[in-house]
Order: sequence, then structure tokens, then C-alpha cells
Amino acid sequence: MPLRNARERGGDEKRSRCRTCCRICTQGGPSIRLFLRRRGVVIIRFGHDWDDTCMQKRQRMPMLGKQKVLASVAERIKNFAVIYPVDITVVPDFNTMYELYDPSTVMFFFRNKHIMIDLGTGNNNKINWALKDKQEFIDIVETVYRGARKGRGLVIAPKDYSTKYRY
Amino acid sequence: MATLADSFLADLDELSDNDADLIEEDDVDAGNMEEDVDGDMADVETLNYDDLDCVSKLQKTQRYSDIMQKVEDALEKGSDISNQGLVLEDDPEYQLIVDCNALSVDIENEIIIIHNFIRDKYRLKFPELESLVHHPIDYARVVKKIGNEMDLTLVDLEGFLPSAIIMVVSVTASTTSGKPLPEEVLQKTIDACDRALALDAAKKKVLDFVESRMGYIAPNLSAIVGSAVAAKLMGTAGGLSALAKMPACNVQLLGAKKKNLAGFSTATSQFRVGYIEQTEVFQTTPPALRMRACRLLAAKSTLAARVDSTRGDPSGNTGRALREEICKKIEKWQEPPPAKQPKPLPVPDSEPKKKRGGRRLRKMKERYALTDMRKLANRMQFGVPEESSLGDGLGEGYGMLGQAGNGKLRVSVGQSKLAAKVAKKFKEKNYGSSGATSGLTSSLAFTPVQGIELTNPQAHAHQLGSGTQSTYFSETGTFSKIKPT
Repeated sequence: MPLRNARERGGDEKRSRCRTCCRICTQGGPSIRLFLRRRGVVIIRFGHDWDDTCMQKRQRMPMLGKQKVLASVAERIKNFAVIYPVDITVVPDFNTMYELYDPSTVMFFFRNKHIMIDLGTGNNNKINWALKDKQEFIDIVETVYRGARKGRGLVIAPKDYSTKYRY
Repeated sequence: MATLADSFLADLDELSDNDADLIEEDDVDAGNMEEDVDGDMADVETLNYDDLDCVSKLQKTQRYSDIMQKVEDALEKGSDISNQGLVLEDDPEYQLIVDCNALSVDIENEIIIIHNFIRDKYRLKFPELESLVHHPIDYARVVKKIGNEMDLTLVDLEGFLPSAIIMVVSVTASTTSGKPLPEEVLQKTIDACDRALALDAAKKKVLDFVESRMGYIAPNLSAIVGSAVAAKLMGTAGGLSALAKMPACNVQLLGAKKKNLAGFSTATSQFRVGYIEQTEVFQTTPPALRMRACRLLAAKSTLAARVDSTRGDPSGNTGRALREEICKKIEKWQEPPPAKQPKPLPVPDSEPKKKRGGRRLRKMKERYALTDMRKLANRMQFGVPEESSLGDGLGEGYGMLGQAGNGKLRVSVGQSKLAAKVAKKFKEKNYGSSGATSGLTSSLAFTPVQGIELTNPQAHAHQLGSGTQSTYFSETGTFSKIKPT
């Protein structure tokens, strides 16, 4: 049920998705990505509730970096990507499989296949820090989409994040 | 504005009364002219020397006094609604109104004539006044007030003119080149002023009368612009049919005043608006939309006038409907634009890039195309090792170049268009420092007669720049196409 008191539309959408998603997770088990999407990238953000204000519908907590970015971007890239936030405490099934130990992790899937991104950080599987810039994130998603459509399993991100701690 | 009316009047055929009057006046004039030889000259002379009466005869005519009498009676009677049953043309009031319209135009013309008369006489006294005060009635009032006075500080012009103009007039009067008029001329001038003012008053009466009957004559037009403005428009045009025959752009300009600048900026002057400016609809539109509103009003009121002239809708409903339409349109103009929706991004690669084609692109691509030599170098024969630039597999490989079995007898360096273009540019620009030639040119030339010849490299440069050298058969140019044999 979409939440009525949401301040931000994107947040609203995200939260609603979060709840549906989580429900599926808890009900259906591990294979949440079985709904094959023909047309788009599936972006899954593994995180925690208290970071996201995911479950706190009544409280107006300011959204933190990554969440905010994802919320505002969701509307713009909805034609070719969809974002699903997942709470790893509710759905711990993927923690070992994907090594989800960071506060927030974003992974990309296309037609049920995991797409790797060369970000320069050494870990090509996911983005495990809070990406601040909206446009950067959109660029990454677009690159993933283009590469995945051509059948590539690994795409090269437009920006190099090897020095991410020193921006 | 009377001159405008003049030109329209020339097209109209319903003013038979006017023609009769003119003929009358001409006859009287002819009587005077028999004394003089040249008719035209006589007119000018009569204007200058004779009485006002020869110039302005309207007030003396029977027609004028008849109509004025009727108008006054009608005004006293008040509005009379009972005659709606009659067919319009038979109604004596309607006829009176038609006459009034014609008369008001005549009065305007008369006023112009009198104004000219006054001006001519007063020029001796105060020549600059005519360029400062344009309006004939204002001019007449001012002349009457000033009289023969040389010192304008004693004259109080408050109320006659805007204060800025009064200031300019006073300043100009102090430096004027005019001299006081003789008593006789002054008297004539004052008489003429009085006459002009009387005519103006008469015109006002006529207009008031027409205005009071406006709702009956032209209900649709009055529904749009209001009865006062409708009366003025009709009066200036010279009748309802005359108004109906005008194009809307002319209706817009009926009553447009010539602005007196006197050093003021043109930024604030409202341009190209006549009586329409006084309508309620116009006054209530915001200034930014005023020009558009004016055009719209003129157009619709012309339509209404046309309906009225044929008595198509005596109830005035068409007019009211048109007014509604106008108001709606003006409201729509004032609506804010629709809010901008944030658009989601399109799917990447969904819109293919527009690729161009054509000869130009082909030629451009040819410059960077793969040459035969390079094609051969890219391929290798099976089982046959290729040669390389540094030998033993080091350096760049030559592929099928130079090997047997590549099917070509001789592969020469093709015409490299890119290189040719660059070389040509280089030659023409003559890169290098201060007169020294480019490193690519050689000063040696092998000629059949003398063998080796040293050419002066400067000679070429001058030739190219002189402009007499034909570039069609250019010596530095290349062939445009070489077919591979």
C-alpha cells in the first residue's frame, strides 16, 4: 500500500516497492529475481531499514545519501531501469552469496543475470559506498543497460572510482 | 483624423446631401471668383484676405440649422423606445441619425478649415504655436486666450493644455519672432475661434444625441464597445454603412490622435489606437496585452457593425456573444503556461542516430578509408610466415604484401587523399619562419633540358598569391580521381 505521508514522491515509490519487495522476499524465498524483466535493468539495493527510513512511514527522517539519490533517480530512469530496495536483516538469504557486509550495496541485474561493472575499486560486482551524484548514477545505469543489451557481462563505468575515498 | 475621414468619404456614395452642399458652396465661390482670373488662386486669396464667411459656410446652411434644431428637440424629448415596430428606414429618427453622422463629419471638416484660417492669421503673431498645439479646438482656445498679448506670463493657460505644454509654449513665446496683430485681423481671428468653438459644441450635442440612440441604431456594436465609443466611431466614419465598409484595421485607427512629443520620449506613447482605447474592455486589459486586445476589439466590432448595418440582429445578441468571446480570449491569454512535467529519460539506444549520407560524406570517408595496401597487410596466408619491418617477427607485420599468391601484380601506394590535402594546405600556407620555405619542398627539379635545376622556391609562393594564376590548372593541385588499373 503506497504510503500517504511520504514527503518525497520518489521516496514514496521506493518505499512502496520496498514493502512489496520485502513481502515477496519473505514469502517466496531466495529467488526474488525470477520475474524476468524483458526490457530493463533491475537495480537492487541491499541495505538496512534504519538507514533508509524504509519502514518509518510516519517519521520525517532526512534521507541519507544513497537513498536520496536512488529515490530521485527512480522516476527519471523508469523507462529502462527499476530499483528495488531490500532489507538484509529481513531477507538474510543473500548475505553470504553476495557478501553483503556494507551498510548499502547496489547490484545490477539484467534478465536474471548479474552484470559486473568495472569501477576501478577492485570489486566489480557491486557499488558498496554511497554514491552522491545523481547524474553519475544515471550514467552508470545507462552503461549497464547498453552493455547488457549487447550481451556483455562486464561493463566499464564512465568514471573511475579508484580514489573514491579521496574525492 | 478628419483627413482620414476625408479619404473614406471620397469612397462613399450615400452622402448626397454633402454633394449638394458642396455644389452650393462652389456656386458661391464661383460668384466671387468671377472677379478674379484664376479660380485656384482666387481661393487662396480669398482665404487670406476675405472674411471668414467665404471660407466656412456650414453654419449658414439650412441643413445645418435644421438638423441642429431637430437634435435639440430630440434631446429634450428623451429616448423614445416605442418606435421599434417600424421598419428602420422609415423611421424619421433613424434618418435624423444618419444625417447627424454626416453632419458630424462635415463639422469636423469645417473645423479643420477654420483652424487653417486661424493659423494663417495667427502666424504673424506666434508662428511656433501651431507646431506645439496640434488639436484644432485647443489651438482655437489658446489663441482666444492669448489674443494679442506679447508676454505670456500674464496669460493663464491652465486647464486648456497639459502643464508641460504650457511651459513649452511660454518659453517659446518669450523668444518668438512674431509681432502683434493689427486690430482688424485680431478681431477676425477671434471670430474664427469663436466659430470653431461653437461648431465643436454643436458636434458634441450631435454626438450626445447619437449616443443616446445608439442602443437602438446599432445594438450589436454598442454591446461590444459601449454606446459612447460606438457613437464616436459612427460619427467619424460617417454613418453605419460607412463604418461597416471599413476594414478592421481602419476601424482600429478611427480617432487616433497625433501625439505631441515636444521632447518627450516615445517609449510611453500608445501607438495605433483610436476610440477603441476608451472602451471598457480595453481599459481592463493589462498593458502587456493591450495591442492584441485592440486588434481583437476592432475586428469584432467591425463584424458587429456589419451585422447592424444590415439590421441582421436587432436584439443585440450577436454583439453580446462577440463580447463574451472577446473577454474569454483575453482571459485565456492571461493564463499561466502549463507546468513543466519532469520527463523520464528515454531508453538508451532506442533512438538511432541520424546518419547522413551523400557525396560530401562519401568523399570525407574516402580520405580515411582502408587502402588496398593496408588490406593486404592485414591478411595473412595460411602456413606462410609474414615479413615484418624489423625482421624476425618484430615490428609491424606486412601480411600478404610482397608475398606470392596475393593475386596482385603490383601494389602501389594509392593516391592518399588525406596526404594530398594536407600537403596542398601546407604548401599554400608556406609554413616556416620568415621567408624560409617548408621542409617538404625541394629546390631541386629534374628537367629534360638542363637536367637538375635549382628552382627558386619563393617564385611559387608569389605566383599563388598573385591571383592571376589560374587555380583550375594548378601546379600544386592533384588529380581528383585515379582509377586503379
